[in-house]
Amino acid sequence: MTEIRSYRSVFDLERRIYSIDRMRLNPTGVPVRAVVYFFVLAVLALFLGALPVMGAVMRLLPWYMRELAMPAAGAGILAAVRIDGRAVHLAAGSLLRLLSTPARTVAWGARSDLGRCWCPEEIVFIPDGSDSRPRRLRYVGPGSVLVLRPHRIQEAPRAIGGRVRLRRVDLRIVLDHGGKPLRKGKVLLLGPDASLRVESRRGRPL
Amino acid sequence: MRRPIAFVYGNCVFAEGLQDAWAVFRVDLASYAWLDDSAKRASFLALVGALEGIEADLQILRVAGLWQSGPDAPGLEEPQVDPTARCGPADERRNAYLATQIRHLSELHSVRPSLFLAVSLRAPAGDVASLLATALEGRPGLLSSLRGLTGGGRDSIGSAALERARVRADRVHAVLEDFLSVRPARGVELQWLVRRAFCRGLGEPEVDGLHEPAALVFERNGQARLAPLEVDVGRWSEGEVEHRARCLKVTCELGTSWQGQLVLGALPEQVEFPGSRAELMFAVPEALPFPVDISLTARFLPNGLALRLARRRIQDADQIMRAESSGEQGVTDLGYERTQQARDLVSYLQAPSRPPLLRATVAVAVGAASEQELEQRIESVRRAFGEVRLHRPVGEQLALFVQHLPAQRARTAGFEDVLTTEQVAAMMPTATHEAGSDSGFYLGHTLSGSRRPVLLDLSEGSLHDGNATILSVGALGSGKTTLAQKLQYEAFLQGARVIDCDPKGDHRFHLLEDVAPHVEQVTLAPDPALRGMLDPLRVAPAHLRQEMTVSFLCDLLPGRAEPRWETAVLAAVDRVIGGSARPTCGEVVAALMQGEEVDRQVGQALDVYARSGLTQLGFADPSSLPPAVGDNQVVYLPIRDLPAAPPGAGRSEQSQAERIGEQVVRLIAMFALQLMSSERSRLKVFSFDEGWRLLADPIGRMLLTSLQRMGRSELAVPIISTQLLSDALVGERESIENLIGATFVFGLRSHAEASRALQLLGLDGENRSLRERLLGFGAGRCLFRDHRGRIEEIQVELLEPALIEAFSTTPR
Repeated sequence: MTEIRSYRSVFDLERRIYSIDRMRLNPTGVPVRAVVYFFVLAVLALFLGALPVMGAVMRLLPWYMRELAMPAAGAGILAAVRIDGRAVHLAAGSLLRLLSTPARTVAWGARSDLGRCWCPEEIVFIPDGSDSRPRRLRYVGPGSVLVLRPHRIQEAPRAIGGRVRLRRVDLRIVLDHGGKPLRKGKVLLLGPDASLRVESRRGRPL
Repeated sequence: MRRPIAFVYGNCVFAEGLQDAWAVFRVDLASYAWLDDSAKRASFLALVGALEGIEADLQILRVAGLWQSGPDAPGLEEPQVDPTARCGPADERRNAYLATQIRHLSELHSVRPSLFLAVSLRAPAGDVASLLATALEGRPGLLSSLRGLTGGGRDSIGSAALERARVRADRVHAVLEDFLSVRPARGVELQWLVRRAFCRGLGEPEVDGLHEPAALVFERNGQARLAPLEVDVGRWSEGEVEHRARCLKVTCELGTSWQGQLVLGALPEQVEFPGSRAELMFAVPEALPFPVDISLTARFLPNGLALRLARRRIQDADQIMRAESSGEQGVTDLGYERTQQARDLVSYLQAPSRPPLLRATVAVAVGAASEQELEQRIESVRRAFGEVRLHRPVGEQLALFVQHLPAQRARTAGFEDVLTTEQVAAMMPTATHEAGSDSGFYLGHTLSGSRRPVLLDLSEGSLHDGNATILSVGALGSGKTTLAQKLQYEAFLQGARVIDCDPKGDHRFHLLEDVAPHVEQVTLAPDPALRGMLDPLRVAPAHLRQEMTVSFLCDLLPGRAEPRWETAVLAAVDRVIGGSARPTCGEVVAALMQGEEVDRQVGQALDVYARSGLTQLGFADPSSLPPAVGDNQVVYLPIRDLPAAPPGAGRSEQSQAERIGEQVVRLIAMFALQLMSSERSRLKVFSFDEGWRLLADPIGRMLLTSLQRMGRSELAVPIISTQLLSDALVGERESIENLIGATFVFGLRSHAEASRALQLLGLDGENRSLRERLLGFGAGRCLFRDHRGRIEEIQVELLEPALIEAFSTTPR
């Protein structure tokens, strides 16, 4: 047996202030985070107090309650609370991000405001042969295929006695690079569910 | 949101920008649960070595796909229900049987994990001190870091830079290969990794591998540059993601997937390895009946940086302790322990191997088809992780979703934990439950929560130059005979020649409707019509012929016979073999009768055996040879009530009848050898119940060795079933190991038998919990050691009710 140790407690330490000069604070110390929260809340209280309507409401409280006691109480609560295992400011940041970013994204971008997906019918793209090399494609029968390029036809590799697979490629056409187009093309008839794969020699344009 | 992947080039993935290149590798998973402690430790050390060796930020992605419903993509290496079969007369039946198995597998919803390791090709980010040190050493790290920060080269990349990335990826590959079985991930796999994330909980997207991300190529200052078309990779992420507070609703190609993203909280302070508390990336996902993905994203902290951090922590810990000590309540336990742990950490980092640390986040992704099912699954996952708390952070669901894509860094703050490489390695991401062949008929499934299907290709031993013999051990009614018949039936469907020797007379395989027309039954009984059927001079292989014949004839002689009698037998056999084109034991008896006084006495004694009882099967009359056997595909050899000495009984303790029984068993084995040697390229199966008779007998083992040799070169597979596992047999483990390819150990009835069976598998026979597991096995459950030596606990399954009824040996 090997003992695996965690050093989490070494890194997961919370800085606290136990005394200021020679004045001791509370026995368990004051988290530095709570002090920061206090200043943020105090600034927030000042800001809200300066607002027209909210300020009138807040000014009903005495200044020491408004600018000291309430931020101190709020900071104490926020420092004690952990949301989803994290400090409050981290959770709040996530929440703000959630509220400020689009609720729906498609391909990592905001979805159109039109709000509805455009779902066209199935479109078949057929290369016209003008590319420098033919595109690879797979075609599932039934149907017929006309091959006009020099090519080699490979049947699907078979193990002893043949393989039965869930999905398979029955026929593979490898187009040769170079060479003149065939004078008479070759027609291949594919039965239902027969699968054809067309490839060119990798990296060699026609 | 910025696209998480900009470009893919081979196995190099450029994450958020072209400066952030990663190399992605696929790591092979290995069967782990039944390894002994030293083998588990070896796997652990290999992982530690790999994590320390790469010296870069990394991401471990353990994703769980649905078995067999994976894409028809090259390289995803899905095992196939795909016997390497010869299409025999029962071809239609075979296809129907296969269709049943495939249907069952698609309904089984079993989970198949894959492991990917992404390694950043950028030097790990350090603190200011390490950046300055890099600059002073004249390495390009600082410059490139600054360029990355300013966004330089975001839109295009030079061909030389691309090539440099590829070379760096190759270097990482070389390092990893020293420790793990890895290969570069293929483009199709990367595409699958991205697209499957959107379909989590619904199934697997169909990835055909035809699409490759493209880039525009242009020239700048005489140098080729590539501007990747980010939209090309974006096409893999076309699902619509609705970001809710604690879950994601993803509309994808397979429907609507509900996904919940969780993050691991604090890991246990101390755990023992091996043990399920430590093996979080193996024990938990493998115990769950639905797929979950686990990702570990880690920032690499090189030893120098880690040491600086640890020393700072010592100061912090001391300071906290001093502050606490000056308080009214004094130093807390945690405060004191922290100072010790910080010092322990420094000593750990100063070890000669100079280990790094990893600042890591472990996330778990769960998917389901409905919101309700998702909540149930998340509850199951939480229960499975036990003491490790799982958080489901509000507002971070999308960030965690992206974290499960390849080549990503941690995107959430507040969940990072500084881990040692041992902690990460002990999670055992490379472990799985896996056994059986890559292709073959469906045998059953593992007893883990993931219910991994187990396939068996009878010819695997032969095709891979291993041992072909299959041994099954178990108590009465545990499932050995059913297994043997299932394997025979599947061999029959493959067009194999099947020789079924049935000493108990309870086999029903030959009575199946589609098998019966192809069966030739040869009931081995004291019947004059069968005289000479098993004549050793006719059926034994040429190199064993003389030895086997002398052994057979001498064993028939009375125990008190003089040594001269054996000499007479030996001489007569020698004369007959030398003088006759088709020698028989009948001719040996005739030769003895014509000899001197002693010869005549021996001849008269043997003549009695040649005309009566079971022994007459071994004396062919040259003038009237028995009919030829073996024209049909299946030869069924029932032979009931064959006397047998107790296992381990010495020759002096055996009665005459028991010695005859032993000889008949040898003759049957030789007969099977002869039948199987007729068609070299055809799969042949010889099934022998009561196999201890062969395994406990040195000559039986010699015959099995011959069968084994034939198995390798001529596709012959002996299937030996036995309910008795004697000490002597276990004592011969080494010699048996050279014979046995795959082993099934079904339920047993006593601790002694269970202990012997475990030893036979190379496990600890003294381990009481293992023994009790074996004793608790119901019908069809067994420990299976496959041809590659992997051991798993499996349930053998017969899918067709008609076969279950036919093969059952339980009286109704």
